[in-house]
Amino acid sequence: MSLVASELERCGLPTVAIRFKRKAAESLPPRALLAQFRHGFPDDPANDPGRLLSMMETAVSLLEDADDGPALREYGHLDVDDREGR
Amino acid sequence: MSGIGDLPAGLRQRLRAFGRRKEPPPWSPLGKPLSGSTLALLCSNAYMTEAGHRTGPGEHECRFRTIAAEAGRDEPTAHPAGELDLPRRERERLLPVLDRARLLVESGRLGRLSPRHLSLSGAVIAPSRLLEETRRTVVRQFVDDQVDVVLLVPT
Repeated sequence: MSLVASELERCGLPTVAIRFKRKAAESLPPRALLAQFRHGFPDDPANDPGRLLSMMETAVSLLEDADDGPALREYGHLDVDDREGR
Repeated sequence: MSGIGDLPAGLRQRLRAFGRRKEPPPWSPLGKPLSGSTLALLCSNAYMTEAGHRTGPGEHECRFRTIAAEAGRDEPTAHPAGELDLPRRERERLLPVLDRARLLVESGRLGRLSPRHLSLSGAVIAPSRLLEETRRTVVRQFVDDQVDVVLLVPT
């Protein structure tokens, strides 16, 4: 998926990714929001429906905020393992 | 615990080459305000399956599914340009993302949603095949739909 995103960037189409692994967020296409959720379940926890909307809004804001190059932002509180890139 | 050293030699070599970046990642600036931009979603799935068929290693890597922007709505308000009905797994994971994207448009944060979104395999072992077989189709679709920004979400 990130390979395709790189190609989109090369074609002049800006992208931003929501990631749950720090290493992927740091090494792959230029804008990323690092958040904590189960693999494949960005809508997690299900009892917090506003969280996914807030994450997506924060992610797309990177397209405006990061206007001079690659950017990585953290969303909310991350566990120690996430902060250390494990 | 097993590591990269336990993998076959050919796969180790490909993975090491894949991780070695020789140039900065490509980057494009935002061309217009988000409130006037068209957003498309690019989501990932563990693997794509046809009904009742489980794909073998590598077979799924180039597959993608085009999702209509109207997917998940009880009564589509526009002519669907992709799939409206999704397998249960994708329905559970992808439709909440699509629903929140609609809310961002309704709130004025985004201009509009692309009529089509994409779901790709999230695990790729042979990236050259993905780039050759899928890249052109994906880029063409987003260009045809006049997409301005793309949001990648791991679903």
